[in-house]
Amino acid sequence: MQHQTLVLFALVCFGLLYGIQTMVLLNPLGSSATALYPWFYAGLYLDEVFTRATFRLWPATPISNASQRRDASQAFEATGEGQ
Amino acid sequence: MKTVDQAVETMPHADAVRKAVDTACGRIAPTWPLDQFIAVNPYWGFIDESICDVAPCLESYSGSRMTMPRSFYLEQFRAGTLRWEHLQEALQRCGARISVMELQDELERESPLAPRVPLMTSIAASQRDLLHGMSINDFVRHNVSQLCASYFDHAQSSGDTQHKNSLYQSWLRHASTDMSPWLLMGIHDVRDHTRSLPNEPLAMIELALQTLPVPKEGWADYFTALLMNINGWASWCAFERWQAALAESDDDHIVQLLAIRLAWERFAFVHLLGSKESSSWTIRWETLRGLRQQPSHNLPLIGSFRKRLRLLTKAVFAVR
Repeated sequence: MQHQTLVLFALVCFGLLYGIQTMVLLNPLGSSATALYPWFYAGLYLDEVFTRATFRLWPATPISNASQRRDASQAFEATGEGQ
Repeated sequence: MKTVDQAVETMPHADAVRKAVDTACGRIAPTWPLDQFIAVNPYWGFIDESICDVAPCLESYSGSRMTMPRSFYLEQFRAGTLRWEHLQEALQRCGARISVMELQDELERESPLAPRVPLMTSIAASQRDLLHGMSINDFVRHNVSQLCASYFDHAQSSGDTQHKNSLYQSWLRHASTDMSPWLLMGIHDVRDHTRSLPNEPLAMIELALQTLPVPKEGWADYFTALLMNINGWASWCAFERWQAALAESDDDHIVQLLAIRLAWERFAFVHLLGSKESSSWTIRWETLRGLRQQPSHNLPLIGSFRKRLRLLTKAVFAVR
């Protein structure tokens, strides 16, 4: 029974996805496609959410040698200490 | 470069902006698509100037060293690939008045990088907690690159709602709804800031110059550094312009890219730095002004000694 529910859930999800894709392809400049575009363009912000969570759980370690990373050295220079 | 800066200083405002934009865009070497790829020299946009004069400028725009480090040549010398007579020959060919021993001593000391043209996003990044959040400099590069990848995809994606707008307008529309600055860096104001920006790229550039404390003679340098901050896509836009020129037309994607990058600079200055000109910003512009006016006095090792190092490089290839 549980197995059948999962299959049904997967079928509904796929159906929904195909439905949305068809709608977007048929009218790419329509109001629905335009409203959905930022969300799907951003990958539903999953990457951002997981990156933020990763930074919280495992903060970056300070770079001891500024020359190891170009941006770090620029940030270092920007404070005027690089001179 | 001095002549461009001086010309910009004495021009009426609108002409000076246009001149600085054209100069900066013209300095970006175009890149070709992979299936037609040819290597383009990064000095291409400075073809009328000498490499010795331009190399420190390129370093100050990009932060990349334009020659191998001296330690490399010292290693070659110690390994015996470069020999005493090569150093002697290099000195003779340059007409330098130092001994081989002194040249060897110079190799022991690393040449300093030219100071970078300051960017507001870099200064803002240096003042934020980078251990628990993304650097705004990295974010801007990633964000603009992603937009360009989507915009210049040549209709490879199946759903495309962006191409009814220009590149700059696509960015305006995207940034006015984008939540990633908040999610990645906890910065809330980007959407409101974007909604207040003008619709045309040149108007955006004008607005940024009215807000940002960039000295007039430094406009072209500042624009060049911004384009080189996102050099891959700037080079692609330079290619689009190159192709348009072949068809006796013009393409302003590179100007739009500059406007987008300037919008981020303005945001960093107004919202992250509280519209306050930091001392490092002022000092850096003064240092750069000094370098441009008297490069040979301020950068003796990146001027005359660079020439010697180039000859040493030639010697290495000759030996091989």
